[in-house]
Amino acid sequence: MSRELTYAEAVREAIDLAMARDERVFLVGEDVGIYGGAFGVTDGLYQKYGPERVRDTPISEAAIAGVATGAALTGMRPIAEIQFMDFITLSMEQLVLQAAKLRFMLGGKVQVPFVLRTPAGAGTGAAAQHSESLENWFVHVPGLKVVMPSTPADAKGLLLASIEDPNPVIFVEHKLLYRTKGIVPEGYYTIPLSQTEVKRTGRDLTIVATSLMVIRALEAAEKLATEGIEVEVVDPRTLKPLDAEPIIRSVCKTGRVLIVHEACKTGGFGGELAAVIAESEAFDYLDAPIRRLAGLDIPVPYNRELERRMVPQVEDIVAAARRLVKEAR
Amino acid sequence: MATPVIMPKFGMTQEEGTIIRWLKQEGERVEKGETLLEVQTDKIDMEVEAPASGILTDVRYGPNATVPVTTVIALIAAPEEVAASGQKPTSSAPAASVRASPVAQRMAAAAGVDLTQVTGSGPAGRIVKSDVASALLSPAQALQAAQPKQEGLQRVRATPAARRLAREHGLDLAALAGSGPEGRIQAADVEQEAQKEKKERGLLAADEGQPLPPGEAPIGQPLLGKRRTIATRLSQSWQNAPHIFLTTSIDLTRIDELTMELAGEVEAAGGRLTLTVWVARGVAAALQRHPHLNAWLRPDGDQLVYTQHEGVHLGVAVAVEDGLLVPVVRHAETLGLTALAARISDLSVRARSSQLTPDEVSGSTFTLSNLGMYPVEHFTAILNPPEVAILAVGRAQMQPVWNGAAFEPRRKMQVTLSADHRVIDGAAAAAFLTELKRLLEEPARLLL
Repeated sequence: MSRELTYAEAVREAIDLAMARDERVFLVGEDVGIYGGAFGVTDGLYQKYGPERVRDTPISEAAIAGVATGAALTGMRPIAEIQFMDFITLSMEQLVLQAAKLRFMLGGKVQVPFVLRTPAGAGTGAAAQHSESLENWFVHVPGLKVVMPSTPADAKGLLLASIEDPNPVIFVEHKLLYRTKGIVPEGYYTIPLSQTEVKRTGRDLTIVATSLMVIRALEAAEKLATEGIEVEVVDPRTLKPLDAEPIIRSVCKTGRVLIVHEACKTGGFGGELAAVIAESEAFDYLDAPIRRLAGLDIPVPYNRELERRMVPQVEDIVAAARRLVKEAR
Repeated sequence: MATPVIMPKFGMTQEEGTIIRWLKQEGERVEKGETLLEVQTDKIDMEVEAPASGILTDVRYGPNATVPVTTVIALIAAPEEVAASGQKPTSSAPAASVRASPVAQRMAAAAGVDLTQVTGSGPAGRIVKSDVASALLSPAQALQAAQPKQEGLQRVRATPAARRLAREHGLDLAALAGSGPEGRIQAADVEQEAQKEKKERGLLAADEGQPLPPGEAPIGQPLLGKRRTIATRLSQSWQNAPHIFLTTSIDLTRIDELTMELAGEVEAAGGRLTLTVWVARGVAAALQRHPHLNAWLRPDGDQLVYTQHEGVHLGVAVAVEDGLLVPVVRHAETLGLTALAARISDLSVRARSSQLTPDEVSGSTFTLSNLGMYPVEHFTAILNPPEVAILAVGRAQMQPVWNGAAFEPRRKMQVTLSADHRVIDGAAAAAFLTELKRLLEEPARLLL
């Protein structure tokens, strides 16, 4: 049975199911307990599982990541929350030097089964220190997995798979996705990590998008369809390790690719995707340059109009896609 | 720095040009856009304009010289450059006025480059590392360094997909016009050209040469084993042997009557008295009377060797799951209907269960192919080499036949003889066919 849930409800349901199923799973983060999380994602879990398993912490992201890493080493299955992805800067040492490397450094004698959930993204008027999308920092670190779901059903299945995974997973949610709704299957299920999904099929252009941009790309695709442009929308879902094959197959089919992400263009995940495509057999099928549509290389502005301009909107995707297809006809 | 004057490329296919005459002489001052020289290509005469203003120097080719396109044929130098090369400036110039980065200063000092003679490309004319590096190059080296850039500009702009398609179709991208931005050649441009070429060659096939996107299982598969043998043999036969085809229809009234009488007995002996059996019997008898069709024609070095056989070794084509087998009834001329029926049914059964020995599928001297079980009224068969004749049997059906007073229904079938015209003349083939028709319409003759 399936029913409609919001993205936030789907994430909460996944946490709830994991906690009910496995005693070792616990929550740790700022205001995740009594307050229910800054975006209400963990609402009610404190009341259900008590202060032992839903732990409010002091305002120290280094401590949250450190506690979670240490607990994971002892065999627990911590789910840590960093309230805004921007604050992950303070957790870097624990994540990059410790969580990501301990299994390797200790010759495989330990595991770090730890999930770090965090909301990224602009669009809430929260300005430059509460709006960033920093996923690609972690894509660059061997030993970390990076998951970035775009729909409620994906969020639930991928979070449960992340909790089951024996390695540290950075699970990037999006503030604007929390209230989006979608059909979500009931009960416990997992969606394997590293499984790229084609969210919409089309023949003229491939759009590879992540997180919120998948939703915007799908909306753009609907508009483009009315002009006779059939867009294929591909969602990697797991950025690392990347399942590149469906992307390559899609580009071989359409010959044109637009990569859309919210994070700043320079040094963003789009560059990696573009390189993966250019290095693959898809190169010989490209009939137009690989194009990226991404956040501007600026701190996220506080001014709402400027903030809007900084991040790709549906109309930007439509325009970029149209241009790419027209020039390749 | 001096601006090179190159032999221009006026046409897509132009590779060289011949200088007719220079309208400006070496050392003369020219303005950008003025006509410098006239050039002849294989098609037209063209004027070449000065690419920059300055002094025309280093004219490398005179009239009647034929030069590859993009080759530097002269330089246009700034007046100060010409002056500098003619005469070393005095060292009284104030050195303090030279702006140069620390690295540039160090390089210049090490290499003995006079920084006052170097043009700076950095902010506010500051001389930077690359300026000193260029100054260190000899004029020839400087030109060489400049050349690849020139060639880069001349390179064909095309998408990777267009390049792949051009490779696959064997097309020269340089000869194509691109419809993309800045004339970029795209897949559609190459496809269009390929289609055009195909049409021109009259080879426009529906899907020939269409590349498959990767990831899709290729539909094309090389022919293997039996299929490959069939393909090779049949195309050899079709290409080498000029076929003639003769068709006649055979009235089956008598055969049908006899079949009613004899079927039981034949079946008791393990066979079925089918039309194939009758035709086999008729063919064996007819071949005895027309042995020139019971023969082989084989190449032997430069010669063709024709061999006539005494025994009729009758090949009977049998459709099997993955192709066609032609088991052979040895000495069919010695077999009566019962033995023929038993033999044919035994061979067919074993052909379909792949139990035939190589000996049983080779050495036939004449082949029989019957498609009478299908609604095929008539067809022509391709010779089974090295045989010189094959008989194609169509379906038997009721037909109205004029008996002189009225139409009466008769069961008839059409048979078509294919014969190798190199050794079998039309009349000879017709005589055989006539014999066969008589034998089958009046089966009592089989007793003679």
